[in-house]
Amino acid sequence: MTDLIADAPATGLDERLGFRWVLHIFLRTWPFIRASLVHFVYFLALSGALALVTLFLAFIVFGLVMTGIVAADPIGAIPVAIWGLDPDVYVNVEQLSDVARRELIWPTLISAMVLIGTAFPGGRALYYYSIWIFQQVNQRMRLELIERLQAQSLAFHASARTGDAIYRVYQDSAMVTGIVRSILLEPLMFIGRYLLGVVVVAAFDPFLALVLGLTVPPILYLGYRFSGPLRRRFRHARETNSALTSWIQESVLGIRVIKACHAEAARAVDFVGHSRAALDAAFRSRVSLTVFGILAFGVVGLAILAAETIAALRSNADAATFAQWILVGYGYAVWNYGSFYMATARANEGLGSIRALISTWGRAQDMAIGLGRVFEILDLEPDVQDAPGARPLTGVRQGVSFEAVTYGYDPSRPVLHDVSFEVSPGSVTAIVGPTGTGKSTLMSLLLRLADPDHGRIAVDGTDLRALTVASIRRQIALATQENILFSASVLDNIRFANPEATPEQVAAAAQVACADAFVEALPEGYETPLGERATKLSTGQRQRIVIARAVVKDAPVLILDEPTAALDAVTEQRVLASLKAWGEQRCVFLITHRLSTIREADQIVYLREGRVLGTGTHDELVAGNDAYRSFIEAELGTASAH
Amino acid sequence: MRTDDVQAVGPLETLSLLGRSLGLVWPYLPRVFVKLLLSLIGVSVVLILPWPLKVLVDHVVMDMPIGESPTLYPPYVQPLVHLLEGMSPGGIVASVVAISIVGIAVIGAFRSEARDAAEGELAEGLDTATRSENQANTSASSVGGLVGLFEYRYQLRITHRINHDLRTRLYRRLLAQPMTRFADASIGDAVYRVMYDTPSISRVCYDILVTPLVSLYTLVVVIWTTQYSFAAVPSLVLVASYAAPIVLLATLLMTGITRRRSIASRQAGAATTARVEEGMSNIAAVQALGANERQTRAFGKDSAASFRRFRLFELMNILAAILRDFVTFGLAFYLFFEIAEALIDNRLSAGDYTVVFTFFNQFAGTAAALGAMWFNLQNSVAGMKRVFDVLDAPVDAGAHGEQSLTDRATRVTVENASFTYPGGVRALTDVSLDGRVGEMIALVGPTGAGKTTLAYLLPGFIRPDSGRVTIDGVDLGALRVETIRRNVSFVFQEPVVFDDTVRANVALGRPHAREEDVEAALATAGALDFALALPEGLDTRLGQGGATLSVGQKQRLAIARGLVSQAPILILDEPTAALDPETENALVNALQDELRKRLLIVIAHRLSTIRSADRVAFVEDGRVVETGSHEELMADSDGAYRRFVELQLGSVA
Repeated sequence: MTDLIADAPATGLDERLGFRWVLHIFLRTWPFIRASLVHFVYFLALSGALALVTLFLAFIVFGLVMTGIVAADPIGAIPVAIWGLDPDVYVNVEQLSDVARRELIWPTLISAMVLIGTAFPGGRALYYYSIWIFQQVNQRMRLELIERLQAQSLAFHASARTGDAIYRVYQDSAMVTGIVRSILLEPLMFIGRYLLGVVVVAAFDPFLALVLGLTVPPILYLGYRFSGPLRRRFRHARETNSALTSWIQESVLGIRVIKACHAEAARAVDFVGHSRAALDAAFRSRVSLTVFGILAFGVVGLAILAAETIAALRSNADAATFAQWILVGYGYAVWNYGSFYMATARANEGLGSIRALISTWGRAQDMAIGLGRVFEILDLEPDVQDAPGARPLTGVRQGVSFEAVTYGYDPSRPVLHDVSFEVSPGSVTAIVGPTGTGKSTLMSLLLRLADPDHGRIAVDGTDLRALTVASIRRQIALATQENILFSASVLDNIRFANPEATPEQVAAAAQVACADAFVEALPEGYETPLGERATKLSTGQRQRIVIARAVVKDAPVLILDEPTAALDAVTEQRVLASLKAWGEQRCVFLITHRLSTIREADQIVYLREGRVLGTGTHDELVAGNDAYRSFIEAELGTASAH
Repeated sequence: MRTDDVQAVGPLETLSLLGRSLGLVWPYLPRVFVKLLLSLIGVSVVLILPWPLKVLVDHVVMDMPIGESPTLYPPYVQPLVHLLEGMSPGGIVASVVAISIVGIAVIGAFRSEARDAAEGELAEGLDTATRSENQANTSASSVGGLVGLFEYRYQLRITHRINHDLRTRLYRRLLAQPMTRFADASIGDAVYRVMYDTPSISRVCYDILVTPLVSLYTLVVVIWTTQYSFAAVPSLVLVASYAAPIVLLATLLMTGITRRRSIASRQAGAATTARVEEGMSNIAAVQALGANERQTRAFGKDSAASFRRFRLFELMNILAAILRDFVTFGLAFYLFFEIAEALIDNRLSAGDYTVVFTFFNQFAGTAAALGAMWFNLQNSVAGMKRVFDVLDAPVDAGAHGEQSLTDRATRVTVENASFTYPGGVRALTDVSLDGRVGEMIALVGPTGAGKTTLAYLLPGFIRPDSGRVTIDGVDLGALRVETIRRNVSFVFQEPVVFDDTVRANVALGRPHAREEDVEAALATAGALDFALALPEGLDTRLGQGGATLSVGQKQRLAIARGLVSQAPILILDEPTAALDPETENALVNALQDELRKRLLIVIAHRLSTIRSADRVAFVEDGRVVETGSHEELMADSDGAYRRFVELQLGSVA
């Protein structure tokens, strides 16, 4: 056994994988369960009732069959009374006559039909009920998870892998239902059945109850011994599988580049490695689980054997049963075939419940791992969240100010240093500077996709951190350089940020973005569906749809992050002119490299390596700022910037 | 990939898909045969197991001497019976206990009602995607103990190999799809196919090659044993012969409906995955646009639909099970009637009662499994169909020939090419272009004019509807894909960065590139400085989508990737859109040195870049309107190009 579990990969998380941690995780599922609690109570009550009814009917049916028909022994007073039979023929005799046995056939058949007609459809209906309950719980958790993921700041998404997220939402959150089943419902049902079994067999012979009791310690030991190794292996299996999913997803996403580089073969080789690793981990974990199951059966099997042997020897000796006064009514006063059958069946059921319980425990280790991974996400507090007492931002009157803002995705490597400037409504501010200098990061701070490490950003004098995140984003419209379109119609893509916009408002926004002409020329106009990556449109066309999306939001702050990079000069001039006309009374931020665009701005913030090297109009900066002038000269490839 | 929403698979198609699936597992036939033998051994053990209880009941509980039994022990149990003959009840119990202990260790069983069956199923979620995880690990034995463990391990290995082979094959095929086909593809759906649809193959394999034979074997043994041991009760023999067809028929009745539910359930699962994927990939846009709540609602709706469909599927299964119960118990009641008569007439013993019912249960279960076989097959085939849809889709390689070029390419020509996108949008009309190594050509024109489409023709990403593209005079259609890719390198406008090291990202097209070459390419692309400044330099992993880099940095990595490939023809699609002028000028200057050994085709908007090109091809409305050097084209005072440039400059000057 030690060999089998020794080679489990150490993950460094071993200390965390203790029993308490498992319990902690189980407790964490409580909020998701609570909303369905009443259904769980109904379910358990119905299950318990069904079990008792079934037990009673089984007593009757097997008494009739085994004692009466098969062994010709006298049967109990209760079935005799139910069927209105003559006690002098069936109860108070040494042996049943063949005629009497034959007359039992129909009562037995009908009793059996009642038993089966209750137990089977009842059980299946309860199963369907449980599916319904579990799906409700699972759905609640999935939604919570996706909400959390979406609320995480960009710094989180910079390091998280999308495929992993999918895997978590899908595979791991499904484990909640499993947890509820294995930690709450099944133990309750199994323990109930076990205790019922102990009580019933004790009535036949206390030694049988002792056998059932003695089975528990070795089973507990097995569970204790295997839990840790099982958890480590299950974690490893899930991690490798998740890595594989991410890998596939990334490949499909980057297929163009893989093909253009003719790297298909190399990619496929790596795929084989990932796939092998995932399957090997699955192999190790599942074989461990199987070994665990086989050992558990070893214990339970010996117990069943012991119980049957005791029952067989007692029956051979025709001994009296222990609690005659209870059992006599059903015909089990002495150890006969009926008693043997009933007692061993109950012992088997009780021992089977222990076995089911322990194998559930084995599987629960996997669920604990799955859930642990879910909670890793649920436990992440969003980096950016509303401060207590935060109030909503309703508009922008005096303007936006950046005050000594310093920020880095990794705080030890700041991208922005001490950035300060002010913007007033009705102006266009161009953020200018070399690639990778932090222009886009600066704008993401304004949107509160992250908060500054030092300094502050204020709207009308109020720190953004004192305002609610949702209200800030409502007041800012954004068009980015990465033209993200969703698989929906052009119409829905444009009004993504403002679903209430009417088709007229959408058309007006498209006009501002100079997108109206080509959209109307599409086969289905505004109703044309766009694919996940919208390849039907050229990059420039997609950029204009993204601009229209920002316009239709009708917010007091507009950020254009190189929205015109893929537009030719003519189109760009048209777009800018119409945006300028539209942008009266709004704060417009413009990240751009184009001189023609820069010149249109009311204010220029020249950034270099995350620091502000100059602010002012184009003419002011060209006249008084050497760094800016040489930057502009490079733009034209000439020295004639003026 | 969503071109083929799954529909119900007809019987004929099922057969053909099964045939093809078998073809995929053919190499594993010897191993599957061993698994079949192991299963037969296991089932044989299971068929012996009812008898020890009869021994215990008849000769211990009922105290009947061995040899007085009204029925015969079958030949395969007689050695045991001979061993026990003449023993006292206590001796019989002791012997049975001894044998049972051995049984627990070796086969994990000693009675029908004390039997282990090795398996490693894990808890599943209540929808199809999570259930396929268990399918990917299909393995089971009908016994436990050492034999069961051996069989479990053996089968799990086969299952994994078969699944791994198919996954790999599908993945390669996905990568071989032409780019235009992928245009509208949903990435989540593709992932779903590779991860969750492929495990169907192992199910199909066992359902065809193992289950039916094991089931038939069981039925034959049970019928034969009944005839041998219970000849005194003819009705038992009769039930044994007719039960199978009746149960089978009852099961078949339900399968049609159930299968359709299963397909609907799979589709809903794929839609949910796609939703998560889209939301996560575009997280910045979702957050910035304040659409969190809406995305969550949409996901919730998809997810709920997926659950609902699964419930319907489950409901059908339950109805099918109830129908099967009804038929099985009907037969059992008839059987009970006959057995009771036979017992009273002393034609059967008390121990026989349990043997007969155990056999009957086994029998009904086996017949039901046979009845469900067709259903299971069709169900698995639904997954296989989605796999084959991808495997059958035409790939790049099919559209290209077998010819190679012996030397490095020196010239590329486009002759009167026209191209229309599958959606019916005409992108190029009668376009011609000619370039040689040593030249730099700028493709210039308004947005949407067709510059990128024209550039896509050169590496054969798309094939012209009419006209042709040649490299060194050889039609692209006649060349091997490898040859084309080795000679043409393409840098996309929207850079893609993989979750790998900087080095691996740059050397993607040339995995064995030397360190100097990688660094030189990075330096030329202006990416060396920031790459070296990363925490682990060129060995820094970049995260999915290179999310820690700015767009400009990603762009420069992508350019370095194009440079390191050494292809004589290098195409840059607006490489500089995200670059500032200083970086761009440095890049253009650096590229000048590359020109001696390369043909450089650049799609550009910036005048400084356009000016350094040897020739400009001005594209408008899908046509090459003018070609010539910047100066030549500017000399035509009425030219389209001149008008275009003046507008651009006019706004500057």
